[in-house]
Amino acid sequence: MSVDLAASGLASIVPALPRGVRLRFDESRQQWFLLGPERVFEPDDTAAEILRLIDGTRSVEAIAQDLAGKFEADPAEIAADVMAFLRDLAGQRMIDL
Amino acid sequence: MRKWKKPMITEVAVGCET
Repeated sequence: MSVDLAASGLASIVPALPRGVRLRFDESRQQWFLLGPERVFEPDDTAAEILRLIDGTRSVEAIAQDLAGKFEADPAEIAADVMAFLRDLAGQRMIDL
Repeated sequence: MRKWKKPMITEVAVGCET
């Protein structure tokens, strides 16, 4: 499924985990955690799906396209939600944009 | 296809240990 999000400018934004921040799956709790220096965040299912696609090379556009193939929603809505989520995390210094 | 929900993330309070 190909979605045209090119006009949104999200192709040029490539999120990455900052130094010292990592995403970890806790087997005992069956839960993803985003671990920062002395801080821990618990993502819900959608947030974990987004975080797992962040590898420092994929753009927000590419991440949104991937998710549009997995979830039932308007691709533009997915892209907007992903971008808002990443901006929020960037404000917490848990993501580099 | 799964239904899309807005992503949410919650900061977990990390308790310090005597």
